Amino acid sequence: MSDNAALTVKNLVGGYDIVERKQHLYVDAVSNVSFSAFKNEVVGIAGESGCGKSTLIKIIYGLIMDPLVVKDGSIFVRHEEKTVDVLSLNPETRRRQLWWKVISYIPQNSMNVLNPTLRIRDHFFEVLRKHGGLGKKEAKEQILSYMEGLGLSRDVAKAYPHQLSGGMRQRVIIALALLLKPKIILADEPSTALDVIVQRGILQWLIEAQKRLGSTLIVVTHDMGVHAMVTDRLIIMYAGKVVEIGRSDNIFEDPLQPYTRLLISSLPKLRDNKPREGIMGMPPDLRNPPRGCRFHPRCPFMTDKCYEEPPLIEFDRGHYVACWLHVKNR
Amino acid sequence: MKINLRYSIIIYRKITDIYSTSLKFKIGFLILLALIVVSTTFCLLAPMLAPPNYRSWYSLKKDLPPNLSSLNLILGTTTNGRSVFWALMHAIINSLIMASITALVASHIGLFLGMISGIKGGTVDRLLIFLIDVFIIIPGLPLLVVLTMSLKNVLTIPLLGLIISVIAWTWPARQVRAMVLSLREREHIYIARLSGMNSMNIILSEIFPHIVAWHLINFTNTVLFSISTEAGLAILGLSILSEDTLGTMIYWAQNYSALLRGKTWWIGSPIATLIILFVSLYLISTGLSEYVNPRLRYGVTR
Amino acid sequence: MSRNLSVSFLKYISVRALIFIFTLLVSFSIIFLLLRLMPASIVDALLAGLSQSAQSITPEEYLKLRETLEEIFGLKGSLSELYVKYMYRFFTLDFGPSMIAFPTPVREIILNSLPWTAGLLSFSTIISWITGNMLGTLASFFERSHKNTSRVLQGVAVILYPIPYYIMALVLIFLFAYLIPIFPLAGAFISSSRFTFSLENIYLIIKASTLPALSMILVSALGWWFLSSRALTLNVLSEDYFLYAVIRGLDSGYMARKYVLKNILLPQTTALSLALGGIFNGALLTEIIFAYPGLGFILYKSVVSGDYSTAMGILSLSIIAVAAATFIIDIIYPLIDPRVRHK
Repeated sequence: MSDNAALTVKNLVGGYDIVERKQHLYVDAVSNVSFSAFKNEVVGIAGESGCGKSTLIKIIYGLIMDPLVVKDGSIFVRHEEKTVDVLSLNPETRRRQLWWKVISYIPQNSMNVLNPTLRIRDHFFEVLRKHGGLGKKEAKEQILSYMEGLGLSRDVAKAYPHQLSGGMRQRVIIALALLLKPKIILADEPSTALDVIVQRGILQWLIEAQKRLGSTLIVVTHDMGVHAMVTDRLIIMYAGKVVEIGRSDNIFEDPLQPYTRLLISSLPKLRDNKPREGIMGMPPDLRNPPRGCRFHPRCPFMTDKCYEEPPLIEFDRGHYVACWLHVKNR
Repeated sequence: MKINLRYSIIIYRKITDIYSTSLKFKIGFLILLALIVVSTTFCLLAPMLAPPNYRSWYSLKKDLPPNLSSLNLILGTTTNGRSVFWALMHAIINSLIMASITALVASHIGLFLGMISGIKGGTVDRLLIFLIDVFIIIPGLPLLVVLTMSLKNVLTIPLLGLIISVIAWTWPARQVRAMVLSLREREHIYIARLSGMNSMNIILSEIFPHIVAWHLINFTNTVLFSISTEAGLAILGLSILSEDTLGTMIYWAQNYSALLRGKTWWIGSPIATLIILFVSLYLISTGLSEYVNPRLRYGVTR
Repeated sequence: MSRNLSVSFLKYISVRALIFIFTLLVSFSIIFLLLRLMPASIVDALLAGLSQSAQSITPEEYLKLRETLEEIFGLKGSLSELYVKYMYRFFTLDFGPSMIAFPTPVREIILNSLPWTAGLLSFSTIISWITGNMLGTLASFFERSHKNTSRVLQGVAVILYPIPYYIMALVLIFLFAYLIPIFPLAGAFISSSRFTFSLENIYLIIKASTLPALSMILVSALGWWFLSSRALTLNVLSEDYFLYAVIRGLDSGYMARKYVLKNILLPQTTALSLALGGIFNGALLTEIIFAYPGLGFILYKSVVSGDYSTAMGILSLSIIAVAAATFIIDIIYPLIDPRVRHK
């Protein structure tokens, strides 16, 4: 793993083992995914619902619960001067040493993740308690100043979750994720449930915090507008496969893969009065994915070659794409 | 007529589905069925097989322990000279009849009031809920004691069933109301309302199918409650002492200190039967409620 | 901030107090109505039934008794007059002379038995509630690592739950008073008249109360509270906020306490206040079987001697007791649920 990389995912294969009427079916949610994320950068993972991005994030964190299974691959992370494979660790070690200290996780659907019977400040205490071993008084002071530093007042600290608005709760969740100054922050749809104005404020706030810590932030969302706003690099996923990786501005200016192109053209642009196009068809059933390139049934540029899976090649420096259109004969 | 047929089919289909899905329901149902079949068969055959005056005292030798020599003596005899076996058979039937009456009356009152409360909402709902809460607070036993003491001379099995329903209707009402309230918020109801269906139609076609399972649960629970309450009253001597019910059997056995004198078959049979009956009814009820709550049915996805 | 809290809390208490009184009013009225439905010759029938079993009484006492009964059944005087007198009787527990211990007034008898019942009830209920909830929660929380223990407990719970208290009482009597005679079979105590705190008395009380309490606790704790807390625990385990606690790497023990138990507390308290009526009934019957000198036993004696007035007295006292307990639980409520406290 290169010195500059904070996280390297290598050939990750994982999915869901479903039992339906006594039959075992495997849903191939993450299929041979590889990428790296570097220090102090914001990486976005984009794609429509069901493309596997949430599953990918869960696996990276190490949150592998029934019926989720990991079939192959490694996830390398730097911890205490060493490179460690998250998947090879025993769950208890992961929990004690990795979770929240090295990597933290901002889950989807954050509206209901706070304990209704605990005050906000107690949510912070319990994390410190487990990891810090501080006395109660010192912990209290530390928490309050931390929260104030992030713009959360003492009233918020004392409050119960039901007394806070959606936006405020989201800030609390983010503040919690940053508490132990993790090197990697995984955010799954951090702003989706909020209205647009609140969304923007929170995203900016999150980015500021990330810059201060110098951590790696990985943002998973289907909202291309969010990616345009905050990410440095972008990974596009479709049906469990990575189809394009590159710097965000490059991708937005010159999307290579047809799917990426359609995704981006669905965003409204200034001075562009053309009607927005959707993408025809539906994402494939991952119990029985299409042969070769998984996008080919919906791709306007499909050819016979597409029945064979295209490799992920480096088209330009730092810009990778998996599509036969861009494979030149070597 | 058509509506009745349609709903009978819905109910029948639901029951067979539940039967095949839930193990608990199956076991409970089969045990109960076995009890009913056995006791009904023997009761029907009683004119032929039972001693001619099985109800009168001292028709058999008293205090005989269980003996496989004849059907009469298979569970022994009481200190009153009666066959425990035949008393038990009739007791099961009588208890079940009484409990069914309670269940029919109480669960339907509960269904009716619960639905009105849930659907109408507002002041009507608040009044009904207050009424239900008051009835829940009134401890049933002292109230039943007072009522049965007053009616001691005219008490019959059906009347007793009716009296118990005075306190038995509150739980079904609460349950149904909660169900209706949660259903009300669902979309298909809104749509039905918006499309101009009148309340009655909405109730029948959209709400009813969901409520069937709950109604069955309430019915079963009420049966259990009723048998239990009757036994409680009997211990006090307030049931119909001239008839055989599971409760009165226990009463007579206690009265003659059967336990102290070691005549365990006399007091043991009704108690054992009660326990079996309770467990089977409970299994039926739990099986039904597991069926209704998909989370419990398929196991929690972690 | 805290002053606001106490003001709104006082308001809350007064509202609940009003509801308490109103509940009493309504329930007494309902009984009044029910009694009006009884056949008119009831008083004669009761008095006739009485004269066979009671001791001889003087004519004046007989008249007083008749008058009480007639008032209770609403046979004399106008409706509103009757209603007022009736309500007065119910609220002050004045039901005239009792028949089981003539001429001791009903009120004295039932108030003497009250401490026994109250003691048994509170003790059993609190212990079962706490134990049952803890067992059910822990058994379900640690289910995966302790599969067999959990299954066994569940099986036990399923069998114990539908068994009524008095059946359990009979079973316990059979086991521990008959087969293995440790505990007294019945009536460990003679009369409930004077309640003195001597060491010997306390020993006798404990000896007399153990089996009754045990029968209630076994059924309640291992049955009902176990199963309901298990269901609630499974619910909590599937909630988002629980997953979030897991994600943050919190310890199991901590999560069991602060995430599961804490969130179960509220629904279980509600359930407790709803179950009070049933528990009370069960306690009465258990007392009868163990001849434990509480309200249940007095009720039994009244039934046997046809003492209607005492039965009514017990009915009234029971309603007041259960309504009062509900009131107390209602007040404790805001202390547990932050959502009610901070609107």
